[in-house]
Amino acid sequence: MDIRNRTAAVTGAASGLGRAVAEMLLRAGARVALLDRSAEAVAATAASVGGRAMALDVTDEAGAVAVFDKIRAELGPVSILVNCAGIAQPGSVVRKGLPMPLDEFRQVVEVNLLGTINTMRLAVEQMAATPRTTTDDEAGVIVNTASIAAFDGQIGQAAYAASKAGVAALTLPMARELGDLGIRVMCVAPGVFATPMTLDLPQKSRDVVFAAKPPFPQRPGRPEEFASVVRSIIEAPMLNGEVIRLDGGLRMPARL
Amino acid sequence: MRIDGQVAVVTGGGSGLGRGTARMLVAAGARVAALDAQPQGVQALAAELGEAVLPITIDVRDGPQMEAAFERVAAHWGEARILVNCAGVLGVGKLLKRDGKARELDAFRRVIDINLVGTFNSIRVFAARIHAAQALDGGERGVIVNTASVAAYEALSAQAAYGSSKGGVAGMTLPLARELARHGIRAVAIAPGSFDTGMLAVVPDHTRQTLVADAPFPPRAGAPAEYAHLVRAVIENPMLNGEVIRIDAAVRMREPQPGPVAERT
Repeated sequence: MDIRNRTAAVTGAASGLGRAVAEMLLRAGARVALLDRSAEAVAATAASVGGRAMALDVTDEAGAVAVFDKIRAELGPVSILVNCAGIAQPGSVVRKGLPMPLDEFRQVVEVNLLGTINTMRLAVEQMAATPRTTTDDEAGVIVNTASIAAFDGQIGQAAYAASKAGVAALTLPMARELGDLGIRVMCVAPGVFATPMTLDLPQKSRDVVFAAKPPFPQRPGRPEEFASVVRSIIEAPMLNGEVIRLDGGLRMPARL
Repeated sequence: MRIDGQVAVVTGGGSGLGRGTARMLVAAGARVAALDAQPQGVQALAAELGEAVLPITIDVRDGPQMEAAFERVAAHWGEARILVNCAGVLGVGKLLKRDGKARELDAFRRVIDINLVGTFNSIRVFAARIHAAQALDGGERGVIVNTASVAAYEALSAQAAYGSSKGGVAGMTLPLARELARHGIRAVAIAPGSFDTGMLAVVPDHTRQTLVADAPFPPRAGAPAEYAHLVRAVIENPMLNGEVIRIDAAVRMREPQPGPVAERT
């Protein structure tokens, strides 16, 4: 899909991967809705990179309906959706002999997995209404963000890994379901990237995450490198139903 | 890695995915040695693209031939920094022939020799030549892109040799990336589904129709230029390493059933 003059929605757009994706889409000529839980932070990002800032908690069903209505009214129907909103909360399933509070697990799954599904269903509604003249015409592209934790989750990542594995696993069934509508669904599974999610971890967790050195390059990924893959995906119509690891070849061990 | 100004080697460069990749690389500013078992295709490509293409006829299974080819490339332009392996054969054949006799081992060996051993052959020569070269931006010295296939994961009957050869190509991606990382060389594989190439043309009509009809979107075979577009993304993005990327319109191959291709519901 040619990005120019398309309407795109990016979640988690205030910072990190989402911000880099929003910048890339804007540079490529899209109209971009920057969505983030923090109204202030996303407004500041839009003031700096452009695009339209809108506050959205991705777990809020009614809130998401309102935001996607607003996008359609102000920027036109969504053709591109990139889900980058996510949280990481490391925690053992059993700590000091006590079970993890269920809500701790549920919150991660709510944001990372249900939040992704929440925006997808509303974006698909708008994409599906796009007029198509041939079966080869594209109505929309969705790119979700999983994580290599979906495949090699570490000790303490039960919730995060489960939520991201869910995101990875819905790629193929959604691509199959939406194919007849001309909508592609792809997923990127990043390794360790330098973003607020990793940089703002508690010191001990941060040291663990950044100690993981990919074979090459032996450094954390840069958000613009994530955005570059997202761009390649949007522009390549044969890419569909696939999860792409973007990790410099890193495979996480059980613990470091 | 920036492609502009680099030297690249593309095996299977005379047709299909290899030719599409060679065209992309030349358009992006590289000089390309196009290696192929058949001289006609690579010579036609050189006639089309001029001095940016060095046509070399080679059997990818042959060690000394491969070494000589890289020597020639280095003497002509300098060391190659980019290697894209597209040489491959389908070599359809069931284990049992129609007469109930076992198919000869050489029929399977040929497919595995070309697709898997041939891919490894160019990699070993490439890596040995480039591992001590001057590092480029970010410490990168080289990029290897191999062509696997969705048959690495869900090969059809009569594709035992093809599927296992491509499974081998997919399977060596991570260990190659891990081993060559200290030299700043990345290794990535691409696993294409149905693409418009000479290989797809020899797939039986019924199987081909099933493959394309089964693709969720887009419901067509891919163009070699679309394969090349992904090769370009791999070369240009340094964080892509040790990964096998499917490009297949979300198809998962299933055994074609007898009779007409079912209407999609």
